[in-house]
Amino acid sequence: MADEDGGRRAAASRDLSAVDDRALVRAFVEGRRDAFDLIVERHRRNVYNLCFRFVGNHEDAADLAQDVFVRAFKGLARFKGDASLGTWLYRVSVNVCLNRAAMKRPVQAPIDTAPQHDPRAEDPLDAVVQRERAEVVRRAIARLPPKQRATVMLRVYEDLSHEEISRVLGTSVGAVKANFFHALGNLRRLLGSS
Amino acid sequence: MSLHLSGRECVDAVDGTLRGARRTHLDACAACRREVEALKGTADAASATGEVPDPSPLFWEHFSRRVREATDAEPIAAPSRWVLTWRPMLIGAAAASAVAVAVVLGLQHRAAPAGTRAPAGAAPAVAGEMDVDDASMNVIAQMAAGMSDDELQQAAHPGADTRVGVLEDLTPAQQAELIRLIQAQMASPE
Repeated sequence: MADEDGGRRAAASRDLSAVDDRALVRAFVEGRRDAFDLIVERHRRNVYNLCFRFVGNHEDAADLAQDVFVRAFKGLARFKGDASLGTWLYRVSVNVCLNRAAMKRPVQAPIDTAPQHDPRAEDPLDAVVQRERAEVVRRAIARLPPKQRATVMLRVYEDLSHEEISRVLGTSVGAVKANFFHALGNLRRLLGSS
Repeated sequence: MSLHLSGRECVDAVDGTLRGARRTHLDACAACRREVEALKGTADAASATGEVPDPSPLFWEHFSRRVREATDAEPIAAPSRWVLTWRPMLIGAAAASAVAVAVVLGLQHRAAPAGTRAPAGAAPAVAGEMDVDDASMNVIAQMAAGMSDDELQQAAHPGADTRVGVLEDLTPAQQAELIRLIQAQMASPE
């Protein structure tokens, strides 16, 4: 029975797998739930990565990413298509992550989810130093004010342009650049004092 | 010595997009160069530590299943009433308005005496420069500016299912309500 359901879902999804995001949204709004499955499949990695960078551990990132898609499911009918679906999902993700950050302090990454040491590395000590450095930077970013933090995440890690970030955060390009400038200045001070 | 770079200009310099006189200033100003280099160093340090460990290969399927289970009980929200009822009508209204404006301008152009025409070399009149007092025409113009390419295409070439004469079918009260809804919609964030 479950196989039959899976087969039907796969057959239906095949019809949509070649269409673009805009058509997927249209299909979803017209009642095709399988269109949303494809939206999740296409965007889950980007959403998860952004969430991971906010919280620094797999379990919380997976929970947040799920929350992002549940909110997207409820709100997709209001998506007007002015920006790309990816940009809209980034906006939902940033809102979910910042709301969560406002409620809870960032969690330290458990040691077993940290990147594994590569035996081919020249010096095992390098990997340890690199890991510790990454944790220091992550903690410093977590101390930035919310919009500065989101700007750093989207610019440095997601490689979004200032224009795209302005659409995600709903601010002007000038404000994004000013935020980025202040964020880097604050980061420099935080890293210098740690 | 010109003013030092602003924060935004420093960001442009970090991105390598600072040009012109400000770029010349940067080349000549050691203090600004130090600032930009420090910012770039911080951005690079952050970038070098941003790797996200790959989750287990099984995670993604599991994740999609979790999302499906969490949304299974949720109904698919219908598009807002505005989108369903007014947007197709507005597309028709925009097309009708564009045609009407073109006809009026054409008639005025023909009727204008030779002495009142713009001098040679003057910029031709465009829709954005029209002196339109009617508030509803302003609303239609703003709405058209906010339309997507697809919608403009549809407005320019309305299909059989698009009712171009929709404005004529509305009562004055309905027209006023239409204007109010457009203004409310344009004022609301996405």
